[in-house]
This record gives sequence, structure tokens and C-alpha cells, in this order.
Amino acid sequence: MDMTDLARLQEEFKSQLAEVSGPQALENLRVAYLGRKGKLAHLFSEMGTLSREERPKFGELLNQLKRFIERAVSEKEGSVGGVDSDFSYEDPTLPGVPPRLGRLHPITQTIREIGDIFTRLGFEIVDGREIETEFYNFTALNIPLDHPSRDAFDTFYTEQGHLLRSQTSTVQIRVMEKRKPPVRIIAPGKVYRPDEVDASHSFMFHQIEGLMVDDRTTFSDLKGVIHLFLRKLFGNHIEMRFKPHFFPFTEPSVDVDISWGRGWLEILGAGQVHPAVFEAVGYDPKKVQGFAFGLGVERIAMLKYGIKDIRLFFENDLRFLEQF
Amino acid sequence: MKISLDWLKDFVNVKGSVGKLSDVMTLAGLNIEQVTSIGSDTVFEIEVTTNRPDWLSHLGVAREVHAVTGNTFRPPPFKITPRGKTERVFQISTPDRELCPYYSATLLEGVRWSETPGFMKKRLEACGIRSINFIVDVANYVLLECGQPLHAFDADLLHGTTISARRAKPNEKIVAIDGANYDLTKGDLVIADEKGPVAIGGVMGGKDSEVTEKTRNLLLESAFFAPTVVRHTARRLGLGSESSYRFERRVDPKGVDLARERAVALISRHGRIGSISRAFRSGRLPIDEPKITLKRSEVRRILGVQVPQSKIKSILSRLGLRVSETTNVIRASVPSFRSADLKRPIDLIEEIARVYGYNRIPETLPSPTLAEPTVDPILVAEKKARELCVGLGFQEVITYSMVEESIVLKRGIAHGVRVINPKNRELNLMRPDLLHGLAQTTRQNFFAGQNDFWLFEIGNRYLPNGQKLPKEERLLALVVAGVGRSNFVEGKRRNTLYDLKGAIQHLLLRFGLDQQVTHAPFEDFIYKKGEAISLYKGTHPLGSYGTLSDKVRKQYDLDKPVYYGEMSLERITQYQATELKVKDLPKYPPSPRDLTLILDESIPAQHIFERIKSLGGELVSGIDVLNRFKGSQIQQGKKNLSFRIYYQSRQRTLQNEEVNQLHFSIIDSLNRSFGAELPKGKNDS
Repeated sequence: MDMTDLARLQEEFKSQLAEVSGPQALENLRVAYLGRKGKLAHLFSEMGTLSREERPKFGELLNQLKRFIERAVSEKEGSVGGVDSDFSYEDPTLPGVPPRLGRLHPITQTIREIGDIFTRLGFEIVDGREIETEFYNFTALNIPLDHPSRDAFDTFYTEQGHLLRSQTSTVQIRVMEKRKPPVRIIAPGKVYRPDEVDASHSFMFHQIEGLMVDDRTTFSDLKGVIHLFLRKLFGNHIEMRFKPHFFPFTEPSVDVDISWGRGWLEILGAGQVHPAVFEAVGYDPKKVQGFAFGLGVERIAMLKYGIKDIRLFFENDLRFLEQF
Repeated sequence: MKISLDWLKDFVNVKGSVGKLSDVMTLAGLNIEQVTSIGSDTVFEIEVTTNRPDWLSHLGVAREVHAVTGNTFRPPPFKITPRGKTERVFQISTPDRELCPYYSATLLEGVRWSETPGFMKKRLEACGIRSINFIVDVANYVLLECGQPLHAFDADLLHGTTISARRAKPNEKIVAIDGANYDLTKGDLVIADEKGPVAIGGVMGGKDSEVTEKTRNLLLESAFFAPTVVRHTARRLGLGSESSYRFERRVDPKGVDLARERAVALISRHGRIGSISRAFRSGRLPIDEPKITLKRSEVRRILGVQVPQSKIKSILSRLGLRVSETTNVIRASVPSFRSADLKRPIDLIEEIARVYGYNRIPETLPSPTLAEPTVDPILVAEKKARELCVGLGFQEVITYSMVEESIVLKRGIAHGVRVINPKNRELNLMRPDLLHGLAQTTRQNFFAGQNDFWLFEIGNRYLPNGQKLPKEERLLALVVAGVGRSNFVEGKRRNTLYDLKGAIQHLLLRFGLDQQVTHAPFEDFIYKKGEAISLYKGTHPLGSYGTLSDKVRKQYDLDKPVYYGEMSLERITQYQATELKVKDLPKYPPSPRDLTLILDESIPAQHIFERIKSLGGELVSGIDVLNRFKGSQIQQGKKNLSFRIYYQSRQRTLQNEEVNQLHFSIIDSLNRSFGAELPKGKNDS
């Protein structure tokens, strides 16, 4: 056994390959050379008989031959078809192989869509805690203790006397405490309210809080920004109306409706930041002004996608999630 | 609150269609949620926000209609006439002024009545109040008309002639009109005769002194109770009523006496009264009529639009404020029925804006100054992790932050953050990990027939921190669930722990942490023994992953394999490599060599690879595992491991000779150190 044997074997293979016309013949040829009891396997097993000096050189040539044969067989497969002809594209009506596709939850998708609109308007996305003190959820937001206005914000309490935030407005306070104006933020996150669970209520849901504070932003600007946002989110045809409302932390306060079907639908709450809120964070309400708004993410996703039950978001049935 | 249009028309002119009125009022802030026709009347269901208790009456709503439309307002002709003598005279005492600042009552003797007049019944019923008897109906009628709750006692059933509005004594009890027995505490306000409580102030009257058809002598109460005490008691006893609702929101102190007189007038007009006492009273009405000074320029500063001077004056006047003005300043005196709501200049600006019309204010876009852009690293990491997980084929889920303590604590988690008023009694623990929600989601999807799904969730866990705010740590959790999938090309593709490990390694790689993280075996209740791995960066734990233990699978009724992993995004953010440096592409080709080794089962593959890398140094650019198997064809206690080594230099093309020598010396070394052997006739070298 020497190097010339290998050259001869290569020539022999080439001529046999040239005669192959069908997939089975090709497979037979492959087995004859590359199979467990094929010619190359035999040569590998014989290598032990060579001297230490000859071994590496011979091994390398044998490897080269093996790779040559492998490549030649796979190239030939292209023209004669593989052995398992199921894998040829012979039936174009068979479906494609379904890829394993990851997806974002529709709530995340909605938060991103809204966040993207506001980041393009120069807002920054910030994070906030979920377990809070009464100060951040109520007091600093001009919601006095033991006042009926707290009824609208029924709240979960923890053993330690903290609470689960019932609104993302807490983040307004956290951010303004730390920064000087101008402040332009969007704060998405989970909020909690002990509501009776039904098709439109959940004890956990998501809100997005927005805040724009500087030395000049007016109620007119609030209208302009909110309308622009709603048009980007729902389309340019969307009409908007402002209904006066009451929130302790904004004044003037507004419920924003959008045209929906033949009527109007409440979509978010907003208003100019109340001077008491500025005072709570150490801003001077004579010099600082701006607006805040809050919207329910589930509500918007339900409208956009025609979802009829809020519980679907948290049941996480793949047949639901896979539609997004 | 239901408002009868017919009733409203007693006090204000209404022109145009009902639909038009309802739109105009809604857009000015009095939200009309529903309009219903009842016979010849129309009933509006209005939303009353907590700042507008004055809307809890027809009179208040009429005043608002006047303010918004400018239509003529006619307040009812209330007057307080001096009265004659009654046989009995009552003394009133109000010792606890902070709970009851003012209490008044009028005694009516020799009262006779028959049916409640039809118009009154009709109006009450339109507003959702059932007719009971003439006296109670009059009290309810006045409540809906003026917003002041009244209470009538059968004077013959009261003990003695002293009525006190006082704090309840310890262990005092009362049987209320609803027939139930209530235990009172010293935080409650009671109305008491000389024997004991006869009413829970502002909340509900007592059964023993209730007005019935037999009642001939009445004591008619009208008071101002402190909103907080009424709120406290009504909540504590779960006794919300039309009365408590109004007291909690603060009644108009100026309306207290008028409402009582209005009731007396109605009783005397539609029934008969023998004699009427003077008003017995105690305390002082907390009448507050603040003055607010508003700079004209402020209106424009906040709203962004100049509302004409004359408009401002007419809006505020119609709302019942007394207005005087100079060129720059508006001075307004607030009527008592708005004093809780209108306190500072901004409150007037809101009134001006809403009556002027929010929809008349133009839309503008602000011209903000640029600010330094900042990003929250946790949010950046979250976004990156989401993109990676999606790319790796994982479906995002969102599960509840509250979990069932009874199940979670069985897993050996000692303590957590508990919610004291959970909605669902079982969901009372803020989750200490993400397993609970994901395991439940997995079970539900198994039940729905899913057999192969990969899930991820990003969310907080909550760790107690003494009396301080709990620690909220952002986690990323991954689930590989189900047996696997098959398709007609590849056949069956099983899910294994290696799938989850691969995803986790890839995530760590993308955060620049792959080289620095060790995967160490450990033991935990949630993972199967021997299939639990803990992730460390140095001595800092980053998370763990493994095969869910049979115990956990039993807890959650999971009948198929589930692999679970959880990592702290917060720590990953902390330790991640912040800057990515690109390596130059190799200029010289790799020389791959395949190798199959027979090894003792106990030898970890990692030891073999580490040895190869240390022997090959920078000439080994990578190792791919091709196959690993045990079984009948292999000797007991041994395993086969096939892999491909890539030999490559960054400086030059490696000669075959050099590669072969290195390859064989590696094989020799693996043989000496690990007893690794080559299978007969299998290796290509």
C-alpha cells in the first residue's frame, strides 16, 4: 500500500462516478467507498502497519481523497437527485417546513408601538417601581388621605404597609424628584387594582404614563401632541374630542375620546400638571408647566385588534398569542 | 346619578333637543352617560366626579346647565319662616365638633298625611328611588332636589328631649333601618337620645325610631357631618347610602337649613301639620367662601390661548362666583357649594377652559428645547433580551405578578411580599420567581393540545426588604416545553435540556458574558437531580436552569417534559461587556479534522475540549460536537463522542504536516490522560 494506490483509487472512483445515472447507483457507489466497510475505511484500518514517519503523510492524502469523494458524490446528487426522493422539490404543493418563530406578546408590541411614536417626538422611555409608598401613589399626586377621590384608585396593600401602584403616575413623581426640567418621559408598566375580574377588567394591567414639563408647554400643546399621537396610532382618519374630567393630579383635566364606529370612545386621560404636584417635587409652579397623560395598554390593544376579553392577555394561550 | 329632565325644568329653561343638551353638557364636563325616556319624562344618567358634589342634586345640575348654556336659572323660593310653639322642646348637643360641626332639627307635631303626591312618586321612581311613605319620600325628594340628606325620627319613639350628635361609646350597638345589628366604635358618629344611639350619623337611621304610617310627631334632622367620619363609618360597616355618598363628598353648608325648611314646606303643602317648632340647633356651619385672585396672563400661559375678557367674566358669574376685575387681575369669590373644589387660580382656569369649550382651544405642537438623551440600562437590556429570545424561537408571555402562596412556599421559599387584601384569596403573594406563572401557562397549553413550545417572560420578582420597599428584580425566564416536533423533511426533533442550554449560552454570548460564566451543577427543589445547573459570574449567581423536577411537575400537573431557566437581567446588565470589539476575519482557511473517541462515561466532554484547546493553543479555532452516544454497540461504562476540531492560524496557512502532527499528539495526550481510545476503523486519521 502506498501513495500510488491512492491515486489509482481516485481514478477508479472517477470513472465509476461518470457511469452513475440514478440515485440508487450513486448511493451504492458512496457506500462502496465511504461506507463503514468501504474501501476507504479499509485503508484507514491498515494505517497501523505503516511506520511512524509514513503515517501522517499517508493519513493526510487519505483524508484528501475522502473529502474529494464526499464532494463529488454530493455534487452528483444535484443532477441525479438524492436517494430519498421525498426531499426533492417534486411536489410544489407540499407546505414549507414551519420555522420555530418567536414572537412578542401583544402588550409588548403595543407598548413598543406607542413608545416609538413618542420617542420620535423626543420623549424618553423610563422604568418605575411597582410596589410603592402612599406618598408616590397618592399624596404627591394631590390625592389626599381619606378622600373620596381615592375611591377611583382602589389599591392593594402589602403586609409592610406599602402598596401596589394603581397607576403609572407614580413615575412622574419619581422622575421629577430626580431631574430638573425639561422633562419628557413615557413610563410603561404594570399597575394593579382590586377590580372584579371580567371581560374588561383585570386586577393587573398595563399603563403608559406620559409627562412633558418645561417652561412653556400649554394645554393647546397637549391637544396637538395627543391628536398627533392618536393619528399615528389609529390612522389619519381618526377624530378626537376633549371632554373635561377630574383627575386630582392634573388641571385642567380631560378625558380624550376618539371617533369609533358611529360614536365616541374614551381612550385616555390627560391634563396640565397640577401645581400641587409641582410643589410636591420641589418645582416652582409659577415657572414650570406642562402636561401629563395616562393610557391603558390593554384597552388600546383590544380596540386595535378587536380583542373582546382582557383575560386573553394573561391566559397566554398560544392559539391567541400566535396570531400576533 | 339620575337626573329627571322634567324636574330640572323647575329650575332652568331647557331649549332644543335632548340629544343636543346632552352633548353640550358632556363636552363641558357634565358627562351624560345615558339618556332614557320614562313616560313623558327623560332621565339622564350623569357621571359625578368627586370634585363636584354640587352635581348630586337637580338644583346643582340646573345651575350647571345655566352656566354652560346661559339659559335662565330659577332657584326654588326657599325661605325660613319663624315658627310657633310645640308641646315639646328638644335640646341639641354637638360635643364632637370635628365629627359633627352642625346639627339642627325641627319638630313637627300632629302631622297627618295620606298618599305621596303622584308627581313626587314619579320623579323619585325616575331617579331610581322606591316610594316608602310620604315622610320618607319627602326626605328623599329634598335629597335629590337640594343634595342635602335629611332624616326623620318618630318623635314619640325617642327617649327624652336631648339629642346629641356624638362619638360612639365603646361597645355601643344599634339596630339600623335595614334590620341589622351594628357594633359601633369610637371612630363612629352617632345620633343619640337620652337612652342611646338612634342613628349612625349620615349613614343610616335606627330601626327603633323609624317613621311609620302611625307616626304623628316627627323630628326632622338636617346636619353637616364631617366627610371623613361618614366615609370611615360607611366603609367600615359596608353601608353605602344616598346619604353617606353625599356627606362623604361634603354637602353645601349653606343648604343645610334651607333643605330642612324645604321639607317642612313640602309636608305642609301636601299633608297637614298641627304645629311646627323653631329650629333646634347646635354648632356652626363651616361656611367657606374663598376669594381667588387670578392673573389674566396665567390663563394664556396655561391654556395657550387668550380667552376674551368678557367671556371670562360671564363664565365665572354664571357658575355662581362673584367677580370683580382690573386690567390684569380677576378677583372671584367662590360660593359655598363650590368651596371644596375651587381654591386656587388653576381651578378658575379649568372652569374658564371647560365652559369656553376645550374643543375651541386650538391644537399646537410644542417647540421643546433639546435635552440630554438618557437611557435606562435595564430597559436596554430588556429590549436586547426580547429580541434575542424572539430570534431564538421563544414566544413571549405575560403572567400575573401575584401568585398562590400555598403552592410557591412549598418549594422551600421562606418568605415573600404578601398582599393583605388580595382580590382572589389565593393570589396573595408577590412572585418570588417566574416559575409559577410559566408553569401554569405551560399546563394550560398542554391541556389545549400543544406539544412543543418555547416560552419566555421578562418581569419582576419581589423580595422582602424589612420595612423598606421590597427589592424588585427584573428577571428573564425561559421554558422549553413538550416532547418536540416533527416535520416531513427531518422527521422528529426532540426538545432537550441542551436546547435550553444553547439558548442560554447564546444569550450570555450576546451580552458578552459567555467566557466569564460558569455552569455549575447544583441541587434545587424545582429541578431534577443531576439536571440542575447554576450560572455564576465569579462568585455572583446569575441564574439557573434545568429539567423541572417530578415534584414541581406534579404540583402543576405537567405530564410532558419541561425545561426551565431563569436569569437576573439586572445582574446581566451589571456585568455585561459594554463594548463589542470585532475580530478581524481569518485570512487563512481552517483545516477540520473529525475525531471519535471512546471514553469512560464519567469523563465530561468539557474536560476533553479544554485539554484540546490548551494543547492546540491559538491553532485550535473551534470544536463542534457531531455526535455522542451510548448503547448496545458500545462497551458497558463507555460512551462515544464525535467532534470536529478546526485547526487554523491567524498568521499563515497551516501545512497538512503540521496539522497532522498536532492532531496526533492531541490524540496521544487524550489517550494518556483520559484513556480515550479510537474506535476501530472509524477515524479518518
